[in-house]
Amino acid sequence: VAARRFFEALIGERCLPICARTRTEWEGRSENGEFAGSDPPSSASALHSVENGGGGAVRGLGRIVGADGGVKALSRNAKRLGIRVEVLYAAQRHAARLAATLAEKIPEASRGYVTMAVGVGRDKAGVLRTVIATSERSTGGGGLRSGVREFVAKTRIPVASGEGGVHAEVKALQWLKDQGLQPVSIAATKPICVKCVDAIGRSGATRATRWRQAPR
Amino acid sequence: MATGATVMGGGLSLVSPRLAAACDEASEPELRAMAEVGCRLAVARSELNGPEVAAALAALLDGRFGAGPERESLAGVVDGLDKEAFDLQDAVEEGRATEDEYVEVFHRARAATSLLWALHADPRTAVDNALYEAITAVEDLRVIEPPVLAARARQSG
Repeated sequence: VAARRFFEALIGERCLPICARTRTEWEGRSENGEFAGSDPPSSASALHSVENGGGGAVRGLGRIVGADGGVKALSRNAKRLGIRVEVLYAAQRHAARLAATLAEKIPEASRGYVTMAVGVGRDKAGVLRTVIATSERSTGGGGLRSGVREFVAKTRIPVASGEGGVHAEVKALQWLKDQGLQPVSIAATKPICVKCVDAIGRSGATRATRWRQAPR
Repeated sequence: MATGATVMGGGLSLVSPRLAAACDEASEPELRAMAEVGCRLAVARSELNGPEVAAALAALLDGRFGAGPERESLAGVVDGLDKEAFDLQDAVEEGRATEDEYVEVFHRARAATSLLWALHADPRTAVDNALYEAITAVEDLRVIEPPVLAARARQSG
């Protein structure tokens, strides 16, 4: 409660209390990506219920390591995007966690070369949807490394197609745009380059994982 | 006779639900025949060749699956091609190479990976991954699906 009040004081908004049940559901959904799948109505309910004030959770209230700014930036970005701060926090947390999961799934030999990105976008009904993209050439669900593809097949998270010379973050943003979704957050398995940080900023989305400065 | 295990949820279902469903019903010899045809098509289309590839193909045709010198040598080829593709991907981004140059090597790397998976000891793991990689290498389901399904029919008939 103290942490919540402190957080509320910082962002100047009232937060919903942490709900253990929703937290459990949310954890489960974000672990298996179910809520982020292509279209099942129930799958989007975790985030949807957060947005509608249905006992949603800002879990831990801590800063997401590597995400855009601090809690003030979170509040500012939520206002700019026209969504509740809890929803933006949940979207960033989901994107960051999914990126971390994907990073573990990429075979060790290719981990240094392959970047995978997670994009979270919002449709007109307010439901958040997820896409993943790879830095490698990918068409029609192909081009994923072993380990990643089994995970994607299990979770049914959509995969953005694209050529090999295009960064994964840009592919994810393009997919969100093509689907008519408002970009909310982007995360990646490796530090995000300056060009992609710029592209994310221009799209209106927020960054959910670390970035890296251009080599001098 | 079907082995009873399921490959549903394997990567192949992402690119070809039809082949994934066929694999679910297939017996071990059918799975091996499907993987063989798929990876050989990928190897031929990407013009992948060399002594390691020839040795691996010979092992495949002889039914020598699992760990072995052919697989080990081919794994080295896969690593080399992957590295070359990653370097070319960077070069494309920096304007030093064309997408076509990258795609050619990328397809060859995926075809080599398809052959490597086809030699896997477990037939279901072999077919799921070999066909996924073959489809990625060829990027045209019409080239892969009919011959692979025909190979299964021939084997069962």
